[in-house]
Amino acid sequence: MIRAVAILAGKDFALLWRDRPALFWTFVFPVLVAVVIGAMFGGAPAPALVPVQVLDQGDAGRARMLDELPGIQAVRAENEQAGEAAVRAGRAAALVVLRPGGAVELRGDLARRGEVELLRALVAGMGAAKPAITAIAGGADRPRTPFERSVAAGMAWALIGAAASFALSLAREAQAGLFVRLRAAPIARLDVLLGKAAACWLACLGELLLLALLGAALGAMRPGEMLAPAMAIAAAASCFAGLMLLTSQLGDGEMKVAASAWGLMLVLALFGGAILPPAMLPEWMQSIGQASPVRWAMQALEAALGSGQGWRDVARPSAMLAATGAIAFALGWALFLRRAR
Amino acid sequence: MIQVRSLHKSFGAQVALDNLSFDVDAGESFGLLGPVGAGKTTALHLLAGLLAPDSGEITIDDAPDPTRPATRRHIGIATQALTLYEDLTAEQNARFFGRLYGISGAKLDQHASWALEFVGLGERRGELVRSFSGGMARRLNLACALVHNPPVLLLDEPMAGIDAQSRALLLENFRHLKAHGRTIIYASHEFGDAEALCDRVALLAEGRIIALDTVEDLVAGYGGPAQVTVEFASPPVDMPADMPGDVEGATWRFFSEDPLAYLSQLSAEGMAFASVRVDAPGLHSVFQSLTGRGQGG
Repeated sequence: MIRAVAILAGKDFALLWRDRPALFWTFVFPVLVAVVIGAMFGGAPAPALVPVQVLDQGDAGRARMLDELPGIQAVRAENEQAGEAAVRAGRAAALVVLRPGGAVELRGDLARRGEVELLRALVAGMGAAKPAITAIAGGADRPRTPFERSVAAGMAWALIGAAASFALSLAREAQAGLFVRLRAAPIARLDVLLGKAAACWLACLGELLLLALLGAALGAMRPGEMLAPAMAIAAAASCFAGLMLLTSQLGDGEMKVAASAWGLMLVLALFGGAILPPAMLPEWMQSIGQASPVRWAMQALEAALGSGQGWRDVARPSAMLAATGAIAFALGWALFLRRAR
Repeated sequence: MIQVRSLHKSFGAQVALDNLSFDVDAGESFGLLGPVGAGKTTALHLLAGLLAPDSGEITIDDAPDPTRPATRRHIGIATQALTLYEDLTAEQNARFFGRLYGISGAKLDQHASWALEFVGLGERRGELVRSFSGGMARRLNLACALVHNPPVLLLDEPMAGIDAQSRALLLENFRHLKAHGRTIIYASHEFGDAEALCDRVALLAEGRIIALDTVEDLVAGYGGPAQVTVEFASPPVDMPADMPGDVEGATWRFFSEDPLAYLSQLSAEGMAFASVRVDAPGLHSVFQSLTGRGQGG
């Protein structure tokens, strides 16, 4: 079985190499999204002042000192939750909690380590002991660099492009009667679909790795432990390989499959935040977007590659992606068998 | 080599094959002939393991049930539709299908080269199939069916949509394969090439075999008289009354199993012929005689 799947996947790569539209959507367009969109929104200079949330719990003197520190833009936080939320949303680099009795807590976004370290040094200069930094898990919702968001969007488009292109290729083969010919060979029916899914999975994997390298070159990638990126990438690729198979069965012939595959993918991309960032979407779209695999993929990939979060942090979206991929594959397989009958 | 016993296949209420039974010996060329919708392709798909019969049995090269992958290794099939990857080269296609049948390494190189040379595409092996004519693609379709060197070859309308030159080349290929012991099942609604190639033929109509024998015996048994067309040098004025057929101007058409007798008689009476054409009976006449209709159904 593995041999047959490898042979079929090899054939699909040879076909992909000669399919210019598929190459564009799978490999070129995602890179354009990552670079062009990032460059478009990345021209603004870095903020001259480090935005900080300050929660004064009884040390008004230090709070005023913070306000007056050079290079700091201090904003009062209503409470700890609101202050941390502002950090997660990217509106502040850190939250400084001034406890009664002079204790100072510093909770920062480690992805903005430079700003947080500057703040730490300034706080120590106020006469307090140099505070330890408590990491606030970076919100996947907010970009830390312009390229971070655009590279994540590029990754989403790589998955979408690969899934739609391979769905079309599968429909093309079915329309040309090639499945009949393949079934005459001494291989199982499932091998035919697994071969296509494996090729799609590998194409997703290759493009995600390429974009991760590009992201690293653009300073947008800060992977931590290797397990998290491996999990996120494998799960995202699995999800879209499954969706590829499902969408390939949602119509008779190439044109209908093209319409259903791209239609579904564009809807998932729109609600998932690959076209416009989630923060720019109305609340109802953001709510629906929570159910989009594109959103889960961007969350998992951004968290694993952009924020350097651990495997526990990406486990949930990765599991959802893998489960969606498995369900989509099973549905696609059932539809394929029904058509074959 | 091939045993088919009591095959039955229906698609819903439509009976595609009804009680189909025949044997094909090793090295024999066997024709499955009949009009469109007679059940030829269904029979071939059952033999190739692409469909499972509702009832009945098939054994190929001592291996049972062609739906089993192990049995399918014995079979090469050239489908009616050109099942090729247009964006791959001829060689990539041949190698891909060879690999699917478990061939690899030097053996694959050797087999793919042989198959492409055999169908006359050796020099065009590096070209994309997209650039091929219908005849070339049809020949490549055959190469892909042969690349794993199967003892049994199933050909479904192998001459469909090709020019006379490709037809002649393919017919030569089939004769060569037959001469080298390959068992061939040739399904077609065109009888002419089958007459030239097949040792025996089964005529199918509405899913049943209506006749099965050698071409010669079928023609002798059911072919009927030859059709004769005579062009006189000038319109005959005193045609003997006992002559069969109809005269229209200078043209005389008649059916006879012994046309020479009539022609000799007229010649002795001093009539001059500009031309004589004798259309000997063939499988078409056999089919017409057995069903009362032509191949068109």
